[in-house]
Amino acid sequence: MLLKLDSVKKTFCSQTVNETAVLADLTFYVEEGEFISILGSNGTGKSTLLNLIAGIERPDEGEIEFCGQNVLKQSPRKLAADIGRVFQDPKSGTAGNLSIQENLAIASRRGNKNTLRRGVSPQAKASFRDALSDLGLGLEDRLSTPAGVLSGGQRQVLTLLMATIKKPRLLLLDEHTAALDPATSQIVSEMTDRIVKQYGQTTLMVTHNVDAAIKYGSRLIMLNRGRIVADVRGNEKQSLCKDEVLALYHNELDWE
Amino acid sequence: MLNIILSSVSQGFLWAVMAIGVYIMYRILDIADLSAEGTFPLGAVVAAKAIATGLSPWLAIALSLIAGMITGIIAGFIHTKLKIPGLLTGILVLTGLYSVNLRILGAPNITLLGKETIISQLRTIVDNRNVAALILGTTITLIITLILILFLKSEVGLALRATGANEIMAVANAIATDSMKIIGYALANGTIALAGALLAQNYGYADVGMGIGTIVIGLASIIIGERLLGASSLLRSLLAVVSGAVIYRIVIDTVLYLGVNPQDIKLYSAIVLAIVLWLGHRTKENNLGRGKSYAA
Repeated sequence: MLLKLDSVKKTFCSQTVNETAVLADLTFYVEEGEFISILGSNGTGKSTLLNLIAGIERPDEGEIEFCGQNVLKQSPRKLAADIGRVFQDPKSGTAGNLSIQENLAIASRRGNKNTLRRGVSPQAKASFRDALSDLGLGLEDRLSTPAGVLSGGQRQVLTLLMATIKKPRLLLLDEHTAALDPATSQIVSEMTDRIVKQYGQTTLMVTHNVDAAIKYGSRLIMLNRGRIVADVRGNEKQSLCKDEVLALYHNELDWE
Repeated sequence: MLNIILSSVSQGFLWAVMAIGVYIMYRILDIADLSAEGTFPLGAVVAAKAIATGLSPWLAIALSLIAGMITGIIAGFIHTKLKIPGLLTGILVLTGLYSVNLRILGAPNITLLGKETIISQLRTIVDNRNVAALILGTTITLIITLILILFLKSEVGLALRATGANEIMAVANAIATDSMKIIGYALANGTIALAGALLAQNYGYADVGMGIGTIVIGLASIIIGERLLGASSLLRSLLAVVSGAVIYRIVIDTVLYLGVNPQDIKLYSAIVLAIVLWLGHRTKENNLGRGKSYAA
């Protein structure tokens, strides 16, 4: 078991009139190699969930175990060595005034000790060029370009490569195509799917896009008001169609 | 006349060392740090006191560098571990250092008249004291620029720049952001104290009040330089800072040459910075406007 969440609760503004339970008693387990789409509308605690797993936020109650270790006892920095992340805002994942190769160099040394050696070695440069040319966006010829001048889509692709370049134990994608135009969003989604399949990368992909949640991933978890309302995997997931998902969602609303 | 210009330029290069320190804080780490107002005179008084007690002027600048770096480490600790905002950290440090500087100096100011300084050593080779100052200023600026570029392109340097550029990305990539900030504080304040030590030797005195306006000079140098040369690469932005510092000194000396009371010079330097910031802001807006019309 790679990741275990046990009765995780997280409330914002607790003990005030604005108290909102973002995550209410959430329990689920992630196996090595799973590609899970987490579907939910805005405010259902999807981003909070990823921040809890990465150790950036702490749950009010419950246990989170990653690689057999209690996440609450580890620093976000230590966890980051094994967790790759791509964020909704394309600006979040890269350092804008560092070049493409410098960003990649930082990502490829994630979890290693930094020394006074040259930040981007010639060998590293060659391997970055190869990795970038696989993506087919022409970024391999722009290694010294600052990441800040790239388009949102290019920056997300670069972040995706950075997040996976060290083969992390877990990849967290936080609505990483939501800020892109439909065509670019499509390209980034396809690229994500390819990379995840290529390496058998264990992945949690948060999205509010029903089509993407159905199309990608080996398992679908639907969240509503901080609770899991559906958890579909295997053949059942492959044959899932949009109406079924929407029905599940609306049933839940009626029930509420 | 030529000597006046030479004097301006040579001082400009010495001030450039200070401006590079401010650049590290404001541009690399993106922290609005005011410690410079305390570490610049700290460097000056440490060097002056060392020279007055008969130490070699080179040892004196080494001591200033160390004193500045220690101060930077303390400031970095206050900012990162005690979680005090950057601006307040700077105010705490500069206020505290005022007393420290007075203690070190033992008097509000001391003169280095007749003592051996780097300038007096250089004058045994070149006769003109402005040429001596120019040799010192350009050499030290060149060395610091080279070391800084090499450092900023090292593994630690990349981590440091990433921390300043995007902390979310830095944390996601397992960078020890607190340590990076402390290293940055140490580097910046060490460089600023070093500049204090050089300028004390150039002017032949140290005064506890000489730190007032340091930040204004540093920021004006950075912004003037960036307006002229841009900041497309590390080398270019450091060259921009250095040329900005030289130009700023020429502007201020011109104001003095026109017969302004030296007492009023801080007021004029503040006005110069205000104008530079305003012009920078205006052109930025213009650029945006132009961008829009192209898109349309």
